[in-house]
Amino acid sequence: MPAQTEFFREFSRLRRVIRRARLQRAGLSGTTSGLLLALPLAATAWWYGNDALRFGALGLGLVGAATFAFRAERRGLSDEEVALFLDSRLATKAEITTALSPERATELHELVRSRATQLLSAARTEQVRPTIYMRFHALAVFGVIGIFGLGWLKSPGLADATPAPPARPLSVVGLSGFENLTKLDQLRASDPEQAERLKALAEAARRLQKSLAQGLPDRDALSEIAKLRDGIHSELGELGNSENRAGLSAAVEALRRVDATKKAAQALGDGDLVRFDSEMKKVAQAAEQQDRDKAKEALRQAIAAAKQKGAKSLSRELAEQEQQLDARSHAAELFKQLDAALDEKRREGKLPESAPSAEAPSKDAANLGKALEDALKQLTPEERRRVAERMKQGIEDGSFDFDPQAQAKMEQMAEQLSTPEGQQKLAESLKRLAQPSAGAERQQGLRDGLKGLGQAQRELSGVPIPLGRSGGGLPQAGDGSAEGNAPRAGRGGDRGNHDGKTERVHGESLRAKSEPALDLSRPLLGASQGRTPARAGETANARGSGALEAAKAGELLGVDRAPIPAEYREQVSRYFSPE
Amino acid sequence: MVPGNQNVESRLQLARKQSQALRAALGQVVVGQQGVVEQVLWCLLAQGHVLLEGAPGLGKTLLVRTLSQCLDLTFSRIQFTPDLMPSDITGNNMLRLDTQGRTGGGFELHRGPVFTQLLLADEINRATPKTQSALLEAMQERAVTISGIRHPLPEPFMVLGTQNPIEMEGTYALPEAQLDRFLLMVVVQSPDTEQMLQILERTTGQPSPDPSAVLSCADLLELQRLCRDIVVARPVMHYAARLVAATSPGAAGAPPVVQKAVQYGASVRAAQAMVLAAKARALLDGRANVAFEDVREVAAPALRHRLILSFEGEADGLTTDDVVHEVLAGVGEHPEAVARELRG
Repeated sequence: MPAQTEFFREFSRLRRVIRRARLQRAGLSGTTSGLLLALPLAATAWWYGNDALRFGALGLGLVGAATFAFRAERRGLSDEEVALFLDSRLATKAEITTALSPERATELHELVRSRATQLLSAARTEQVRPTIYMRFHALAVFGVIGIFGLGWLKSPGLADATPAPPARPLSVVGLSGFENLTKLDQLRASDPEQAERLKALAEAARRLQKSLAQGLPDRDALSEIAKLRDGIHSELGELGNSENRAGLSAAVEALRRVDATKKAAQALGDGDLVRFDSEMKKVAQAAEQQDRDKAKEALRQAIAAAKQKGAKSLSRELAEQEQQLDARSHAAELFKQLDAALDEKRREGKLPESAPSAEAPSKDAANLGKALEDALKQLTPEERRRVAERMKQGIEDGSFDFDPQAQAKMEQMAEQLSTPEGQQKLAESLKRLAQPSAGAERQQGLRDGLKGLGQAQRELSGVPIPLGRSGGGLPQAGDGSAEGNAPRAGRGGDRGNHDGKTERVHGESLRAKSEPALDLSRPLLGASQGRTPARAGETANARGSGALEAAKAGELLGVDRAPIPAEYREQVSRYFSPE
Repeated sequence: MVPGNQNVESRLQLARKQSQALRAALGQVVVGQQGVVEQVLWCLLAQGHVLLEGAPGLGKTLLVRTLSQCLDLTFSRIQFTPDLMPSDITGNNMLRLDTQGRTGGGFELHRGPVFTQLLLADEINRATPKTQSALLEAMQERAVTISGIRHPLPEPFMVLGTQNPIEMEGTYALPEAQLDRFLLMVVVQSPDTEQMLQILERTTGQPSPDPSAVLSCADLLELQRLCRDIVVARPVMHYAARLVAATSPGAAGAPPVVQKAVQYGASVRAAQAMVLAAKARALLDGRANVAFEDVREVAAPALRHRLILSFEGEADGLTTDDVVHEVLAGVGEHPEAVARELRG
């Protein structure tokens, strides 16, 4: 039907005009709304000095335009509504609406449609276009000006930002703790790589010392100290690293099976080679040869287990302990003989009762050589000869239950004891035996280094040191000097007698529950190390220090033997050794 | 122009000319009252009945009589009084007597005044409800049943009732059912001074000749058929429906005055009356479709007699015209989206 086609063509034309205008208006309204929303956002960003967010807020205008246009399209006018709108705009008598109505095609309806077509054809676009620009849209200009205007103003956030505190230049000469640090390269390393690392640490300490002498900002100085501390902690934790961890567990287990080496096993499990060395010396001086043999066997098994698990440095440390165990045993036997000779002389009245015993220095094996010299000075050459003969006689009649190699060593010692030159050589040999193992010596050196580092840091930054007896502080263990029997009410809150005449407490048999002695090699509780980067799910105490490092070996040992999933074991391992 | 449209167009033009001629003929006799004349013509074309309300002496009867003369239709007038009986309106069967005065000739139907084309029910509210209801069947069914026999009324048939709103003593208010049968209720206003001067000039001299018929009965029936064909768009019809619905106190969108002052709203018959009257108005204007303004214009005469005010409304002195005015103000022609668009 031509009239109908023509009507709908004209109607569609004007409908497009209306739709476009509505979309334009919606876009402008959305832009305005977005910019008005963006303005407080930009103001907030300006206040805090966030330039990116301030100008990024302009994007809200685009978002608003898109949102409003989308909504306008979704809520578009229906054909009937468009017809009503056109009727109103063209001031017609509802002809367009009537022409659009889906009524049956009567002659009158056709007439109406014909009239409507004429009206639509005559209609100009401007007549039917809905209002595009509204007063509200003027606020968009206000929003844009506001946002860009904020760009010209100086942000109070930036203006008020607290400037970084000026670095305090330090110029320090002769910090007391640096002597130990500069000697780190003299320690016996377990392998060439460790030797290089120790050398680097010592070199860094020297550089720092030099820089401090020339003047260095305090921040930089503390940062360098923190780096040195991290390096030393890393070396101290060598037994807990991934290479030695499994071997350490196996070795500890092997040593734990024998009573004589249980304490040594505990020390080794704690990663404390100094204590381990000390315990092994005690084992070497055990009274019963049977105990020594068992300890030796346990040590061999520990070495084998460590080697099997690929713990190279640990197995080297244990092998050194095995070698020293025999030598120390022989030395101990020698001391027994000397002690017997001195006893005999004391009984004959040739030696006062107060004269030192030869056995006494054995408790402090570090002074073996000196002890031997002291013991020999109290004997005449004839008496020394008799001691040597007695030792030879004991070897011949089997009084000493030594293996052939040990017996040869004992015979050599007896020979040396019979001549002054040999005595001198034996004393020097025993002095060497009294030296700690390489690992123990290294660990002790590193601890001394840490201690020196802590001392240096305190001298630089003034970190307060807790005083053992201030206020309600804890008394030192075993010093027997705990003062006052009045009740104490927490730190600094004493409610007891304050007249200065506190009576002495007889507490010789009492023991303190805690060990309050200050370990200067470890950071103070709550002191921030400040430099180690943190990672999600892991510990910020990355290199391990303080209580975490102390608990590391035991915890790893615990999870290794516990019936837990491998993932959890790995997680615990990663927690204690993030690297 | 499509050829078919030319025929319809000419018919519409003719209707327009005829209506103009009718208005002119009525205007020669009836001074002023153009609105009343217009509304009566709406009723005539919509095949409805009209209730004229006004004080005595305002030309109601003159209007109806002149209309009948101009249309060349049969005309009857019934003066309603309290003693008027239904059979006085409808007629009855009378015993037929022969020349000697004897019975036996059976019954003969004596048609009442209702058997006419234009019926003037003057002061309709003075008759008893029983008599008033005698018109119900005639108005609705366009037929009268006498002694069980249904007698159709002539076409066209139109009742023009009048009532005096002032003299209420001795009157019987029309029941709602009967009021609802009137398509429109037209309020006849008093003429202004100028109009009164013209009335005096025309009525105090020599009587004017009766107006000649300007529209035949056939022409009128053709106009009535054409009126029914006038197109109404759905939104326009929806507007009429919303207006009627808004007169009910419980309806959603009813203005506050309706909630307060109206006891019962208009019925569906009111919506029908509005659309029919709107069609008639469009036809008289020479249009083939109904506009929103047609509905607006016919709203008051179509609704005012169909609303029953509450006690509160009457106590406040409100009239049904006030209510209709509020309804028209409260109900928009367009859906909200279009109205918002038009507001810009």
